[in-house]
Amino acid sequence: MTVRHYYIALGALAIAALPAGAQDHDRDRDRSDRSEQLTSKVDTTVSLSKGGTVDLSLVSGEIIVTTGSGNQVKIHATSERGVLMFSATPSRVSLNVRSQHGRMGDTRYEVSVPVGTRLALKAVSGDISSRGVNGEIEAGTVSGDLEVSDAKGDISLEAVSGDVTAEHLNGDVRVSAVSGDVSLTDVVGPLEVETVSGEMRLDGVKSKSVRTETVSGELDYDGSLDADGRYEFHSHSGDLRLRVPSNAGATVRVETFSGSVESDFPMTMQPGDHGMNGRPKRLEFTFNGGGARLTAETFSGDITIEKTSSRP
Amino acid sequence: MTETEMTCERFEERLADYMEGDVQGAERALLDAHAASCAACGALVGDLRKIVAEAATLPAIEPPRAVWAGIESRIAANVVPIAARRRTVPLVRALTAAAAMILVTASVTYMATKKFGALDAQRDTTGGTQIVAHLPTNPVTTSTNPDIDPASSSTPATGSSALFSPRGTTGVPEGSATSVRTASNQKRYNDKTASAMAVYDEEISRLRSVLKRREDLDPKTVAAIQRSLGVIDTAISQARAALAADPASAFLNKRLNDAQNKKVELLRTAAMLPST
Repeated sequence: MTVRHYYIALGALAIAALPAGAQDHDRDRDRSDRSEQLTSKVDTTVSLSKGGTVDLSLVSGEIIVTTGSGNQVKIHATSERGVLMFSATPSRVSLNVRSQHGRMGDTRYEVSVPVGTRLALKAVSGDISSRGVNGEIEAGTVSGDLEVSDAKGDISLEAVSGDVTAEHLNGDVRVSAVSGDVSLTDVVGPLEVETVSGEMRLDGVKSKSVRTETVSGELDYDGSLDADGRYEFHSHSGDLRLRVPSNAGATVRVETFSGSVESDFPMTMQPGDHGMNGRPKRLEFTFNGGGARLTAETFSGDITIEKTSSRP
Repeated sequence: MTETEMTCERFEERLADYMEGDVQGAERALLDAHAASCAACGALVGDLRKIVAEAATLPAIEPPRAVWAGIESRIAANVVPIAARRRTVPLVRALTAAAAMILVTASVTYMATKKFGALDAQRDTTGGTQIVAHLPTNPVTTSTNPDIDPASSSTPATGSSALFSPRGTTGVPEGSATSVRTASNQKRYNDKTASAMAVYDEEISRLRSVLKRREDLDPKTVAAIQRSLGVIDTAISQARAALAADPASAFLNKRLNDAQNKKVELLRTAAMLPST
């Protein structure tokens, strides 16, 4: 978990949510911008060029993104008490909300976008979902949940206390949560996942580069091992359960201070391995002739390496 | 090993001096040749040079977001694996990466404190506008500090020297040139570590001050963050306790480093969270 851009952007959004009296300057400026509409309801359809960006931000409520036909972006947005700010250019559609007389209430965006649209979705206490878009996505929510299905390219998903659930991701995937859980299914490409206490469940991963880190969360990893790949799993107290194909080859290094190590693959002690007298246990072993480099480290968690069925 | 041979182990032993330009003549030629012919060591040198270059380009305060994004991933990739790789002397990598970490985190803290008002409150006592001036001249990495978190202050610190205990110093005869050099290095490491600790202390203190002022955050979010900080503090305490029994353990030092870095990251994130 790290400070990423969306927090800064959301900070700006939150400032926009300050009482109206504090926002006169911004409001005057906004009123002079003819391309921006201020309203509590938006129902409109605009065109978006291929590869364009849809940028949606709110404080409380929900963002729902789906796919539509052609190159059109269809927006249905309402805000209980806030003022919606909508702007559109051929390459970018933006929608956010600011308070009105110090109040905002819940805001809801339902937006359909062309396939391949780049999404920037931000919420403070709102839920976010995106389905079928198959484009780049940068999405973050503080206390809401985040659900993404079908994304491609640069994929960044972040939550603090909310959960992150995603499937069918193909690209450079970075996911972080603090106390929320992370569940990813069918991931292709480099993958990085971090939590503090949230659990991580990663299924169907096909990647040459995987790195996970958690403090107390548990990890369930099920994925292939590329012969040239590197796989690193770290935790402090969370258990690490790794399931890899029975025909995969890897050189494995596992280390734990007080946890246990179990493997379906034969483990052979090597010179330098130790684990006596309260010292960390370190094992290095190779199975199926080696290939991938797999590292699992935990202070007090248990490490389990299981075989799954053979995969090509 | 003869004078004309260079192994990966030897290369790593000399890496710090090599990167700092302290190796000349035939030995440098050997190191150059090894870096050119060994993929792993060559990649390591390349990474280090990139990190050094990126760290050097960071502005003193408020790094541009693009720079932050670029350096962030490199920090995550290089600070964390310091000890895990069990390299003999991954010092330069650790130090340069940590330098970037300190510079960036201090800058982010500056932004947070500036934005949320803690800066003025601390300016008189801690020199809030001079965070960068507190940075050590040479880059350093993190270390144990029991004072960071009052909740864990009862756990004895293992001392910063453990973090930099260079492998291979065991058995060096006292009074030898190597021993003198090792002692000198150790002192240098300790000095750097102490300086880094001061930076981290200050940053965590500032971030905590910011958090206390964030009454605009959702109480549930604050509670979640507090719980997570508790989880991290527990991890820090456990790592410290283990290190007390095995202070030279690279694995345990790494675990402690990871937990402390995680704490800074979480505090930093929390300080920058938007209002509800």
